[in-house]
Amino acid sequence: MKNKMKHSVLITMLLMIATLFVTAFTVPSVQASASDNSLQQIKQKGYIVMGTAPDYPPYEFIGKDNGGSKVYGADIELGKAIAKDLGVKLKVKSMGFDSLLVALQTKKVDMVIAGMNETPERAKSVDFSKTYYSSGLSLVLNTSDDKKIKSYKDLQGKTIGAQIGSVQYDAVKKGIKNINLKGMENINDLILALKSGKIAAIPLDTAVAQAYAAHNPGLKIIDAKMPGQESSNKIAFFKGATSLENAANKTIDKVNKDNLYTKKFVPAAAKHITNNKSQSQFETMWQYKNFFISGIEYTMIISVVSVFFGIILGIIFALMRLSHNWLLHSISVCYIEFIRGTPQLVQIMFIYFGLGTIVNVPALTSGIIAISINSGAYVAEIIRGGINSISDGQSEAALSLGLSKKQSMQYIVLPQAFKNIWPALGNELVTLIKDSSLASVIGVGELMYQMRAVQADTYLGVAPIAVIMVIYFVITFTISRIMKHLEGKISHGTND
Amino acid sequence: MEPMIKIEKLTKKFKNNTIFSDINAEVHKGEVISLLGPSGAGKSTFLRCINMLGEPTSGKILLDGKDLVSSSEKELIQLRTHIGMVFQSFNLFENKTVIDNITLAPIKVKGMSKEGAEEKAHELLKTVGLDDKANVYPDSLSGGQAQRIAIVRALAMDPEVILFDEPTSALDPEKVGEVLSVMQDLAKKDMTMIIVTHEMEFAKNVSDEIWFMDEGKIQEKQAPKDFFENPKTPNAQRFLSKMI
Repeated sequence: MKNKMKHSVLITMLLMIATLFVTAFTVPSVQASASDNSLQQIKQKGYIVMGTAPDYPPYEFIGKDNGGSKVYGADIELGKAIAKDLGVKLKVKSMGFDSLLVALQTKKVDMVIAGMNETPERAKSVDFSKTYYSSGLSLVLNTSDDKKIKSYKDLQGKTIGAQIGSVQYDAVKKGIKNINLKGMENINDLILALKSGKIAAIPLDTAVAQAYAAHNPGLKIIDAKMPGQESSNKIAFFKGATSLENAANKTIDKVNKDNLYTKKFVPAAAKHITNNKSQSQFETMWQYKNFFISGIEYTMIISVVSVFFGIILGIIFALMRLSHNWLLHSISVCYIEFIRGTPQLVQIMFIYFGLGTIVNVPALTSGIIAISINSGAYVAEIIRGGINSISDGQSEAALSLGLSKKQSMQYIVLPQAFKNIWPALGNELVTLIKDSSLASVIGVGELMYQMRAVQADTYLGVAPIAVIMVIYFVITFTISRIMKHLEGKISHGTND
Repeated sequence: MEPMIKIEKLTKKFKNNTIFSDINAEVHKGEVISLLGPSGAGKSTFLRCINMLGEPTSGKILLDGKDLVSSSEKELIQLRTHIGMVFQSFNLFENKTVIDNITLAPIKVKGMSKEGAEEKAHELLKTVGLDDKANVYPDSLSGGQAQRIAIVRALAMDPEVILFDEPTSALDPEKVGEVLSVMQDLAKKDMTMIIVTHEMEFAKNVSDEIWFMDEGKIQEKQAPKDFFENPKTPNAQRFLSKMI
């Protein structure tokens, strides 16, 4: 009876936590403020943060800069012009195109310049500036298909791919009947899919399509000839940030008057588009070694710090779960079940964007927090198993000698438990290193993210993937060997 | 003389099962008590209640007048340092060397210096003839060696009384003697001991008193000679006829 009651209380608690999370963060987090001081705030800060998705050359892309990487592009030039007119510095924050508007709503960025078009849906959550650049809709195809596909009408019944969240995606979805549309987040992935024949065409903004086609022999662009698909690139602002928007519009007016965007910004950006055609892929990858090294650094930082906190959290929650105190036990069960029952990718985004509405946490810290919390739940279960594997006689002997429960845990049970669970902890560590790649979605510059950057910069699809695959393997294999070596060393007890 | 340990109305229930009930008993300083009885009589459970490794359902256990049952966690730790325990399966700390097994509690609980604790440990190890094993891990010891070291570990805390929970039951027959002889030496040095055992000869020769436990009660408390020659209760008679 008692157990049944405890169970239902536990389930209720879990549900309450879940609903709490949902309600706490779905209520429109920040209301459009009645008094708009957006412009004043920027001037006080002394900088303006521009969000962008740098896989969209020539608008925005990542290029080499003294061995490191930097975001370049015509949109960045525009951002600089706006910052200059405001008398502040420009900071560029990169993330997936999908995440941009969320970042704007949660005030992670002050404006979004990302070759973005205004749509009625987007206009509900953000404000848009005047048009600063117009472009058309083109189709990228394999050269071998150019006889078969002459306009958008020929795409009926075919499989095509488009960038998730883009206007091109929506245009094709609505405008072409009977189409099999595959959405991907990254244009490089789409190009790869096109080259390998998995999709027949990619609808892209004309300028972007030109940039990609120029770097990929065997690809061709045609005008989609789709009515009403003049695209107008605009800057997005936080809803209600009228003063900032007006200031930006002034800059846009100036830019449009002299046609600066096409005359000056695009050529300025184009200088940074690397041309690697004459080199072997291997040489190209070697040139980008600093990208990968920086990626390894971040991956290792995330992994080491998260493992540290993951183990601490794991010990705490394992002990709580084993505790006779029913409240502590329940809290621990809820934590473990909740974390293990939700995807890590979602947790990372939740911490970054969700927690970000309350306190401003940088992406790297958010990633570390999310991964530590996630790992803590798994480690807690491993440690619990380890503690249960130690015979009661060990702690009884300790207690009979006058040691406290805590001392018994510390000196006798945990050291033996850790020895038993060492291989399982090793696996968890390897999993964690691999899962740190998920932090790339919030723009943490770890390996996966750098791989995307190299892809965008070199127009090489597969080579960067192969490189990071090897790097990940070398890291995880080394760690496994080290763990194995240490396992031999700790086969007897502790370092106490 | 006031008894060192006084047990009053001690009762242990597990759900609806009564393991033992209303046990009253006294142990004086220097006494050796052998607790005999058939398997399942609750002897070990009773013994484990004396240092609160098993929690009694009700009753009192007074050590020098202080009740363990009603004491706080902190007081209990303090009281336990006076009560040593030797287990059937030795329970040496597997992650620690022999010397660390012995010195852990003196250092961590009593606050002895490492040097002082080790010196004492070596002395004690010598008395059981195992000083050469000081730096090995328990898994390389024989059962007899492990149990002798477990006794040393208990002694290192200078306990007032040592509880023995079937100390020789897990040993190979040829190793039983070496452990019993250590216990015999302790008895000669007037160590107070409560021993749950099936070694009848040992109980007969070493004990000051035999407690016979069956059906959740201590049915007889007698001098060994009287108990073995003249058991009063039918249960004890039946028990002895089976054992000898």
